[in-house]
Amino acid sequence: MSENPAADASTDTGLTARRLRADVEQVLGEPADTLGEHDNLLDRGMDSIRLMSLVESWRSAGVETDFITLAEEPTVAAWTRMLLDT
Amino acid sequence: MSAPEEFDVIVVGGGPAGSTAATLIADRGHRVVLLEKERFPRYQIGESLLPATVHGVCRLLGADEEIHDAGFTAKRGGSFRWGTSPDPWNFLFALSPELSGPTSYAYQVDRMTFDDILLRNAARHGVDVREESAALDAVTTGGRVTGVVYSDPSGTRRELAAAHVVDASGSTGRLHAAAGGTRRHSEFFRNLAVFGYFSGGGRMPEPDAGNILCAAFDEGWLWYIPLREDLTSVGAVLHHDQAARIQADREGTLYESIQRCDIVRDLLGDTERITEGTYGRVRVRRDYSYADTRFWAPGITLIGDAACFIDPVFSTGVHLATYSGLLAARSVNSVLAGELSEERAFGEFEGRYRREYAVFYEFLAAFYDMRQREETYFWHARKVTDMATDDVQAFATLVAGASSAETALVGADALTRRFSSASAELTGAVERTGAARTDSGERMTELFRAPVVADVMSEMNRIQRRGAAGPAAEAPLLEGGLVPTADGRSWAEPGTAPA
Repeated sequence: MSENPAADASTDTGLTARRLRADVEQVLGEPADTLGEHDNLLDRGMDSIRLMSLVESWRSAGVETDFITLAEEPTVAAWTRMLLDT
Repeated sequence: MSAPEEFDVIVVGGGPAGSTAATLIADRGHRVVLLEKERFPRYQIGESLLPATVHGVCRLLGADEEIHDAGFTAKRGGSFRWGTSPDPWNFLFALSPELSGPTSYAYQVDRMTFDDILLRNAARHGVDVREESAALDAVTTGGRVTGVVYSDPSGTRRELAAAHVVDASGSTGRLHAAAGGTRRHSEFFRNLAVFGYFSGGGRMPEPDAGNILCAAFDEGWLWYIPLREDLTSVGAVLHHDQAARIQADREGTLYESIQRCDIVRDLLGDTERITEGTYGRVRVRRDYSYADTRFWAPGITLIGDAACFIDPVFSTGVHLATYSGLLAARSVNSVLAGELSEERAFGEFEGRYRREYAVFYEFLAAFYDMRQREETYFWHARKVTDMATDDVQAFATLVAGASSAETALVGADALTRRFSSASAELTGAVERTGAARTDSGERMTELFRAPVVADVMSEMNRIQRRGAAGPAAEAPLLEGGLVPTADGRSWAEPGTAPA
């Protein structure tokens, strides 16, 4: 499926800032590098299923996150901070 | 009897659990026969669905369009007059109005129509559906279930043989004993339901008009399900000590219960109860919660109400049925393909099924524990702090099955504390969320963040996501466990399944 963010990534490769942004753009059907860091993703077409797909994909890449956490601050900047800053 | 007719799989029971399992096994090209004791469409209770069934399993079955076109009432969640607040509050499926999406609703269904759609769909997928065919006995050969004896529509006894039998024959079926376990009941959830149907009745204001309403009163609670404009299902759930009263006067008990519960009494007004046809009777069901100590044995798997049942206040019946049908199909397909051992495949089935049962059990125990008018016997008997040690140990056995009896012997106090803390979290989350028809009441963030709710939602979300968006890599749900294959119809070891 074209909406499948994991289609081109094997599991356990880990999540990078580049992949995080690419996955978001892919589920939203946006061209690469068109999302602003602070764009509210709900305004860009993010719905619950796309969000669940991202959670699933990132969890299978070994990142601990959940639906509520991502939904609270739906921006690339916030997700990068939450998921990748250690 | 002549030589048995041979199949790959025999499914016993044509309800949602059996139809789901049969369809997904037949999709892999296996020869599947399904025995159903009645002729469909037939009456059934359990009318309120959850999104995981509608958007997850029904999509996988290829029945979602037909379900959508059937004109069922859309349900965006449940409304509850429950706890200390006099105002109803909502448990909506969508996190918020801004973050809704295709799976933020389910349906209220008349089960005659819904179950018939799934059974006809199974037949279209190649299942040999035999109605008016009652399973009588399991056939066992060398410690393995190898077939079923049934009575055909003419009353003739016939024998079927298969590599695997799936028992989806409900709470009254007899085959579950062939799995070698026993059915354990929960004292905590021992209730009786008395219910009937009304020709209409009021609706809550939009957009909540399609919600199920569950309303507590001193002696129990009532459900109010808007099935159609001219059809409302109303039932009273009472303590089992009311059995004699119900038996003496079903209709009177139902009416008296309605009179005791303002919100339902006001919605019904002078709407008349339907007194003719399928919906014309006041019926009674024991809705005792139970689980079998074994969910499978060599050659046989139990799913749906044949395996376990939990209190209906959160509309879990069809969800647990279709979910277990999906899990069983994955395990049967994996074993028939020679890809996994029975122990590995059905271990995953049982582990996931018991986990789902356990998270709902804990959620419902917390839900019943929410502050009510505690001086009444019904609610007092449902405080988790008053749960007897026996009940807590029974819970551990229900949830763990026969595999880990030692967990039943330790940690009763710890479990009681966990239930109490889950209840406090849930009560707090409901209070912070606020009443339905307020801005905060439209936002489920507080509720979904309560750990006991998050546990309940997680696997349902995955099922929905898969149904709506297709396959994607999934992490195992259970430690050391398996993951679904890309087509969702069997299991794979993690890391081996292409996404």
